[in-house]
Amino acid sequence: MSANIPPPSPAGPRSASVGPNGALPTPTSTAVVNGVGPAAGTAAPAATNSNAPLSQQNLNQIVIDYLSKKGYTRSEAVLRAESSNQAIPNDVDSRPKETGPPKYLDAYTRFEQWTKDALEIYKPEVQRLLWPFFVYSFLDLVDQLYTREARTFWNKFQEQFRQVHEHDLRRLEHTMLPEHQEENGLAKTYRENRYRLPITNASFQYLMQFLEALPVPWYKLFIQIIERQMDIRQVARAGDDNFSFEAILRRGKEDQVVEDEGIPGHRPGNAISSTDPSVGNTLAALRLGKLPMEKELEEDVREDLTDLDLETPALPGESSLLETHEKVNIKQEDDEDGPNRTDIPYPVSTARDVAMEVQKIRENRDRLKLEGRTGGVGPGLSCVIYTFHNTKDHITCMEFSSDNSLVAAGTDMSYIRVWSMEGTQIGVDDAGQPVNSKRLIGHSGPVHGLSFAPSSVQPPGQEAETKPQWLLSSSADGTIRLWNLTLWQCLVIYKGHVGPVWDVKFSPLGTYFVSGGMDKTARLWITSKASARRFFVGHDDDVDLVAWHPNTAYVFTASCDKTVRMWSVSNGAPVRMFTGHNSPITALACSRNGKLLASGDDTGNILLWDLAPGKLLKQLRGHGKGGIWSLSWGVESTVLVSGGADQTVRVWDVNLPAKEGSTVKPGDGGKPEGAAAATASVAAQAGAAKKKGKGPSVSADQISAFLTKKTPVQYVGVTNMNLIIAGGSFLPENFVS
Amino acid sequence: MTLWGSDTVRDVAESVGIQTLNKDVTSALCRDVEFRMSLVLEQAIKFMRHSQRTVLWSSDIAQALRVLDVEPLYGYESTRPLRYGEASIGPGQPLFYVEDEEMDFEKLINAPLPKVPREMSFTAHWLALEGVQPTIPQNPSSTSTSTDNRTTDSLLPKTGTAPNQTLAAMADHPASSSTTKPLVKHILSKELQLYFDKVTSSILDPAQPEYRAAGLASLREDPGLHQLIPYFVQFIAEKVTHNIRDLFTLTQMMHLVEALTRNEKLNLSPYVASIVPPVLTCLTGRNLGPGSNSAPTSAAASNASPLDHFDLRDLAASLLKHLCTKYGKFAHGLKARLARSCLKTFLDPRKTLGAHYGAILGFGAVGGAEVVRNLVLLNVKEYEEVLRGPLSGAEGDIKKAEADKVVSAIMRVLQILVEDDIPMMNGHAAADEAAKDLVGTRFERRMRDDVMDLPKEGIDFDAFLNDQREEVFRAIAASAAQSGSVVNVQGCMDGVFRANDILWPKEKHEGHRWVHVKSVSGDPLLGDFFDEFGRRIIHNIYVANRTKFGTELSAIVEGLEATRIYVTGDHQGNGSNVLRPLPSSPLLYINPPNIPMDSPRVRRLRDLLEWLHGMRQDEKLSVYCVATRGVTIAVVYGLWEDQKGRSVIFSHPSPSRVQLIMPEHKVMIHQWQDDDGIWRWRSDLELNDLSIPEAPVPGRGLWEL
Repeated sequence: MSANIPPPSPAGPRSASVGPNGALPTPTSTAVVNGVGPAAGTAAPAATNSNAPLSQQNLNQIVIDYLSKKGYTRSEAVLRAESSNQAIPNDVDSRPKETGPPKYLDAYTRFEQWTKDALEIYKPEVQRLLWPFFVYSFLDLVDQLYTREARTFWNKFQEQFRQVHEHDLRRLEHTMLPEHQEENGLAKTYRENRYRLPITNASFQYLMQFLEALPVPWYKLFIQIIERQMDIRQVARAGDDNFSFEAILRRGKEDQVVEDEGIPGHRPGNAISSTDPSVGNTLAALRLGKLPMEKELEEDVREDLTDLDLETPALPGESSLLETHEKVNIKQEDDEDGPNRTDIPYPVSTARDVAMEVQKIRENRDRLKLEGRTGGVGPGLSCVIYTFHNTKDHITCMEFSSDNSLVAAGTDMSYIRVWSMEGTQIGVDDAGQPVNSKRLIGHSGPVHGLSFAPSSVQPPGQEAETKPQWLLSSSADGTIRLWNLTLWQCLVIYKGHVGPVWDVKFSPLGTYFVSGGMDKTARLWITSKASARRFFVGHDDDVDLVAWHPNTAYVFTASCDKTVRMWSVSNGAPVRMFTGHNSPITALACSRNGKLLASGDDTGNILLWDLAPGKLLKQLRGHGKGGIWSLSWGVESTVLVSGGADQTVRVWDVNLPAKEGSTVKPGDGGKPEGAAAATASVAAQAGAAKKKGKGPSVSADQISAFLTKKTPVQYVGVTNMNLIIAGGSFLPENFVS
Repeated sequence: MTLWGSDTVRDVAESVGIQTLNKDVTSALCRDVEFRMSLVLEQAIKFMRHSQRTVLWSSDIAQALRVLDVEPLYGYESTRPLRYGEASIGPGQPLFYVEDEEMDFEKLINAPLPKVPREMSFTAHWLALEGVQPTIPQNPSSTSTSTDNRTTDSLLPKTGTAPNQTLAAMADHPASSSTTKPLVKHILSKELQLYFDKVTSSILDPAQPEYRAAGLASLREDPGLHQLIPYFVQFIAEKVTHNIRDLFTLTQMMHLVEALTRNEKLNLSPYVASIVPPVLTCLTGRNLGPGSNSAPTSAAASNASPLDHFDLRDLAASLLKHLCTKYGKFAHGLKARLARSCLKTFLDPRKTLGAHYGAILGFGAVGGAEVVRNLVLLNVKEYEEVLRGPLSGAEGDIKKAEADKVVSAIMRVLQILVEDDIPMMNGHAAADEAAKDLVGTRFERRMRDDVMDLPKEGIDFDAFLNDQREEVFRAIAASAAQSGSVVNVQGCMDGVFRANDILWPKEKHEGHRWVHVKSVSGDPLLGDFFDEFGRRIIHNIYVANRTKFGTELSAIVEGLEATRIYVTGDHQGNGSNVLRPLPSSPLLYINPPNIPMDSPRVRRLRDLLEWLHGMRQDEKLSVYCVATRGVTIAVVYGLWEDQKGRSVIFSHPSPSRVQLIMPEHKVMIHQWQDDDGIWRWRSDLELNDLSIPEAPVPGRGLWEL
């Protein structure tokens, strides 16, 4: 790292002249103290320390310097010997003085001023330095017990970061004593990691010029931060990527999501956050294609579909079920490679699996096809919303079974309630009366995660039952429970997580599930085993959300540390990391074609990530503050549906707005112009919004927004037929619980 | 310096027995406490977020404390807001504490249990269909959201900056309008504003009719006025509100509404709710125009008739009908609301006759026959009391003229009733022929269903009709006498049954018996039947009148105790239109023949009525007569109340000016044949020489409801 920073040549003589009064001797300054500085260096301390009396000590030092420079070694040695005796009466002077707090306030003020005055071409980049300098300056002050100064410093500068870094600000704000830094997770993370920041060569030179021109103590303050706490990567400015001139300028204008900076240092896409530039330069290869079907299963499905085709031949212009099956389930020429069937063992398929696959094909064939936005007009989607009444906001999570027969709601009163969506009987109560809802009682804390085992609509005449059989729930009591939906009993309790389990998700094919909790781990389980099979460890904070890749070979985790990580199921290794969110992530969903990932956060931002290159595709803005509780993808992965606390369901265009007749397809590798177009649209959008100075701007990618009546949307799902199912709790103005 | 004051720390220290605390220690403790609290909050917010809430609850804090290995604070597990009390421990030293009421345990344990909270449940509705939110109560309407700053505009991308703006503009797709809503208030061009000013001034120009016509024509034809619609709607509402005395302005406003609705290029359906009130004002306004009581001051007012406002009401009524037919299906509940407000006006005797006139026409405009039947016909008897005073002329000529207008309005809407019956008409050969095929099976089925004593299978119908009649009658009589069921006799006068003669009540009544006879007069068996049982057990007689009427029937019914006699028929003996029995009061329904008044038949009718009057003097009797001439015309030509307070309404079309003279009443109507030989009737009937013995008494009849 330090190789990237040219050694500041004037530092040596200057620090030497300041001697013991230097604020904090740094390794750098002592190392180069014997370096030969230019003659100009001698003038500098005189200017800066003009008010200090030109003591005997200093005079001697100057002469010694002069002698050593000229090579009069003997004279120097004599002078040293003689002056050392003389130094005794000056003992008072040489003793370390009470120096007062480091001048972070002044230095930072100056720095801020400089970033404001910087040339346009450097400005956007150097302004990115403000935040890390701010954080580390503050932490240093706290570390040295200058609490009062730290508070003044904080109050003076924090406001400008409020918009982007509010979440971090809130967490750091009360860290006022050194020992707090140990306990505050975020402060610790900042302390223990280097803040990664890529910057172009030219800007870096510009920064160094500025720093070197600063008074020495200030210079030292900054250079310390850079050396100890930051990982500045110098990059060459290129024409076509994020470091192109326009890209940087654009970025400077807006508080746009930056995916390549932060703690822990993140290299776009790569899961390895090492400060060593030689490590992790290659991205782990992903196999994002379909999981091939089991051979016997495939044959059975094929047989059944052939029978069905004979029974009811396809309408003219419609493809037969078998053709659909071949298109959907069988790997095509241009498809990506999928994982091997042997990587992830699954139980032998049953008649139920066959029936479900058949139904899937049937729904796929008969679905409402969404073409994305054609000619500027988005597809008109239909949305059914299930509004829950009398909840008093006690519903903590909601889940609809994929055959749309059951809806489960977890409550903070520790029970789960399952309704039949059509009001049909699903069991009997204690008195033997038929009921259309069941309470599942067992947890001893609020239920935070629910997941139905895969299921599909059971068409009349089909023998194998495909109703949902299992429900998983995770709770703040630290357990995950597996419920049987015919007996309405808890069958297994999975213990392992320490502290609340925030989320749990069944694999798209069942059998496996993944959970994430407050203990900063995500775990992979098999329903038949009581202990976890895989641990996904690496997050710096709670694992808030988990999600599956459709081919079941990967899982995604989102955490309070504001990163999303992608893990391989087969070996438990991290394969991707996505940073860019500035507040906790509240929803996560992988597209059905397995190429994109969507994540929504607390401030209403949705970020789309391209998995293969591991890069940010675009940012979707429009949701109000308060969290996006649910995300779901259309069957074709061309639209994304989101619902959140701002009481709206929104539909987003995933394909970029077509430009100059060329549609950029997401997911086919890092397409630079695609990324640039996305950035352009977002930036232009945001820019316009700022001019108007009104509320949250809405990205042009939004197709439609549906308001609900005082109902925060807690669940959105798109069925296999491309119908949006939403769920939410109706919250009248003044409800009393 | 910290939120957590050092005083507090000292207070707490004292409370646990530490009297002196170093100042540095206090301040360090302050900071530490503050930090700990922020830690707890940080965790608590996690719990809040994972509960998908945006409000922090005390239970979240408890959970956070648990996670941090701290004993949670008990007793705050409630979302009831904490109440803080304030006490003073010295000047300027307020002390805050949480109010914690002491509860009497005895009382608490004996208190009734609190209400069980309502069960959690869910409902489903369409939030969006094909990308558009249906305007149903479950979805927020655009008006209700405008207050809380969540207008749909703010939800949509600002199209002005959308990168695909050109594409959107190019796309010729109707749905694009839903994504690109123009903000009207910002972009009303100067030309449009100028146009608006010109048009509104031209329409209100009293001097130049051509100018007015041109303005309206422009509104009817010109495209591209969509952005102006809200302004026009606003303009209409304002003008109508402020110019209620100015008939000219009101009329012009109605024309303006009409012109807007005629414009093919405009979609008015979102504005119907705003357009209807001004129209309704012009229809049922209490006092429209200069008014009769104000002295004519200006020249314009002097040559204006006090009845001019009826023309405006006519216009408004037709406009309302137009709005209903054109936009009724877009505006949910529009017709019901209109009918309700008309009914409210109609039933309020304090409203002016003009308002009543408008309301009655409104019924016809809004709902057609069904509304008229249920709202007008049922109330017209009671309403007559309101009319009686003005009609007598006792309250001045103007009042009387107004009352006449109202009567004509009633007749007009009653005509709708008759037109509604066209599908059941009779007298058309084709319809009759078609019906004939049906009649046999229908008749037989009814016989089997209703005459319960008949064998259900294998009956020889003709044989039954001819041979076994007596047995049947006896069986019915016996059964009726035993069970006390209602016996209805169905017959006709000339012995030939036709399709419409079978006057079944629409719904089958439990316990009814039906006797079907070919002729009520010529059937000897029936005569015997009547003789033997009729006086006791026959309750209703339905008679289709043909060639004979009057004396025979009166002869038959004279001795009967049947409560109702329904007679239908027309002067050509062509059966009848069905007059549906109203379920409320005992009524005699007579569908009298369409004949000249000096004919013997009228005389017989008169006789019958006289006889009825004489016979039923002890009952509150109403006679409704609706007559048909062929298929179209029905006119109420009489509306009075006899000495006993009984209302009689007669309808009768006649080829010429007719006077029907009843014992105390004189009624006139006008009816003429036009050049094409088509019969016309005029609604402005005169009711002459109606001697009404008593003044209307409010609080009687309908008003009691």
